[in-house]
Amino acid sequence: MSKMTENDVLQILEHALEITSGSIGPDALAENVLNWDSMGHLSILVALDKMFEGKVAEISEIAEANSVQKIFAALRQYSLI
Amino acid sequence: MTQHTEFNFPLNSEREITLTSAPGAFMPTGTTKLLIDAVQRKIVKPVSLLDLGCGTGVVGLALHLHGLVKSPLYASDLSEPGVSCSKINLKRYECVSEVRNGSLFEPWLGNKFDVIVDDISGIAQEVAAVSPWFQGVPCKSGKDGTSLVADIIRQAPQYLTKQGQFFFPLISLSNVDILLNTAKENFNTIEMVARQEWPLPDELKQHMSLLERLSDEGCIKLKKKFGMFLWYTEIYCAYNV
Repeated sequence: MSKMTENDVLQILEHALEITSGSIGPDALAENVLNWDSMGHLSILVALDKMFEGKVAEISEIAEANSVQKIFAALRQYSLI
Repeated sequence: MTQHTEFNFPLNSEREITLTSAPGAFMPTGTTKLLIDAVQRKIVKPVSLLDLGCGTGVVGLALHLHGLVKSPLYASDLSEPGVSCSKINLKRYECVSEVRNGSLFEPWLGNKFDVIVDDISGIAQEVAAVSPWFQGVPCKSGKDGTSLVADIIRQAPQYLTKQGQFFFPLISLSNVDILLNTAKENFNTIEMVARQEWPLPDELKQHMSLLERLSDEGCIKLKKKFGMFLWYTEIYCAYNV
């Protein structure tokens, strides 16, 4: 699998939250994004886990990642992006 | 005097329905929505349908609005406010119905249905007491959450027509293994038709020691994933053919 980019991750987030493409920016906070509640967060994590072939399930920090930047940081830390 | 409140429930991605609730009537949860979607996918034509544990009547009403219920819709609940709200909600959407008050199958002795949809989902009693889902609503489901649901599963076959189908949710905040075994003892075929994992609500996160104890005792199942504890709902369709 070729390495994913931050833009790819943004698209996964939008798809998981069932919101319009292009509506999340890299600085978005969960509290300001439609559908990004606890269930939405789980949908994001399930989608990322699928995309990264089960590697996201092991990242414990990602449970509290309540912004796009924190998600990027967690994925970077595990060299997934 | 009963204080009624109104809330919206998503029927599908394009339409919401407005429902009346009252203290003591069970409010729809994520499991309710999962159950409706699963039944909707499985039923292909209008059927005689019993909404067991109808709460505000949302399950039967949603299936009626999807054109899947042969008139009248049958529904029952132990909660009198639930029965009262169901009548209001079904009338609002012109759903011809027969709504009865009573425990489990008690109101339906001698009746048979093509489809029974059970939204009485038991969870371990100690969990129910601290959860956000049963405020003012009885949940006498025993230590491992199985007693009510096991009774329903055992009784369901005698209320089904020959080709009848019984839909029920299992929640991992109860002992799902016992309930699945009960279902296998009473039905030839059991199919899982939907599954959803959920994060613990904040109210339950405050009681992790209780949850961990019940998990150690085998009363509930929790899974650690993404650095958080998850529980799940599975929807089953059971039948004897």
